Amino acid sequence: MRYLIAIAVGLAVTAAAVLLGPARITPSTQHTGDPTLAATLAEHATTGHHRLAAFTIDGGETTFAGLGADEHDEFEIGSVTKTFTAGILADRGLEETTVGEIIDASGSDIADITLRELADHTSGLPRLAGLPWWTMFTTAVTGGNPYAGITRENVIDAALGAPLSDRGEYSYSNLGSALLGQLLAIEADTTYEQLLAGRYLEPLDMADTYPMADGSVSPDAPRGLLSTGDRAEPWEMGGYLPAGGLRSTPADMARYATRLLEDGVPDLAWGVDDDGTRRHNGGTYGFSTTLLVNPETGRAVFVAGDTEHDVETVADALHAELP
Amino acid sequence: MSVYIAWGLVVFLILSVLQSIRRALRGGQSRRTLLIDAALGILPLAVLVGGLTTMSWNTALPVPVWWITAGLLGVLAGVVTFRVLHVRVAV
Repeated sequence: MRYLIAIAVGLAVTAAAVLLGPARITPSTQHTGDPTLAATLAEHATTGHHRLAAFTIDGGETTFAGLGADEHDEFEIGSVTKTFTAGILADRGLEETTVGEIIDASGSDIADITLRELADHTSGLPRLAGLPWWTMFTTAVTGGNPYAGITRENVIDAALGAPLSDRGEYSYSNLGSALLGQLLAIEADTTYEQLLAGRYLEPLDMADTYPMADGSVSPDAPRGLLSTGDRAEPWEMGGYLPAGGLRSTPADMARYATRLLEDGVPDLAWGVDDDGTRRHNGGTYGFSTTLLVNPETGRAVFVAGDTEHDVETVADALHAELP
Repeated sequence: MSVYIAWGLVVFLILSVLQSIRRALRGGQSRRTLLIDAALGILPLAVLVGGLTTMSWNTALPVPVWWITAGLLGVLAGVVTFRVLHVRVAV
């Protein structure tokens, strides 16, 4: 009897672990859009990718393609949102303005930090603050939203109380980017959402792009896939919205990239390759994106996927294979 | 989390579980010791799950590696159950 119970428990534990563990996720075989670009996408998609959508811009011509998705499908663009926030900063010309000139930061280490330092991740602020550590752990397991309930005030309070380390050195900070967006909104006496709409969404007719404020993502909006194959909760980021809270479509992102090619890329927040290509990637629970823009060559590439599997290598491949 | 750290963690977890299985098979421990030993054996799992779910397991480790891990966890659970049912409460 003991043997039977032990075997049953062992099998149950194994079955539960397999069922609750990571699933084998493979790229969609349904090609959309331009056949050549779709074939290139399929060539570079790997296990872990699922639905992918992409565009390339070369010489003013935009080409869309996808695997199981097209240019009108919605994706969370994650930290690519930071490039919008940096664009608003450049537009308003407040790069050398300090935190203390916008809010009362007396007694805080961040009072004399400039908005440029926040955009360029050289402020010395930590990657995150104001989120309970157990929330980060539990949501990582469940695919929940780690930023739920975080307000603008929470972000500012967390930044004011945060210790600085290695200021002047590059250290990626979502807190810094979130604070930047909120300070820009306070300085303009509005909300980050309004700033974004006025600077980008309305002028560029990005009608399918929206900031994920609390409760803004409809129940039937697309959800990304976790590594378990389960659906992730949308990242309605509240106060952290300027650091990664946008949903968009490849069609809208093509309008954004075209504007960047025409007007130039702000010298803020973007990574710069040796050949002058500016790059930024983004990731949430369930989505991964990369945007490459090179105003010198007039080329841009965007790839979005509905899993956490990195798409940057796919974007690099599409960029390298542009004729 | 880098791929190297992910591999390091999963190897550590597998070795830790194997060690717990070996000790449970050897027998001679009290029920309490058996359970504590098993719990410590799977402790790296918490780190692994917490760390790996921030990125797709598929990108860091092949999914079959998880199936092997799941099998070992099942073996450990079975062996510990067998021993716990077998061990008499010390008086």
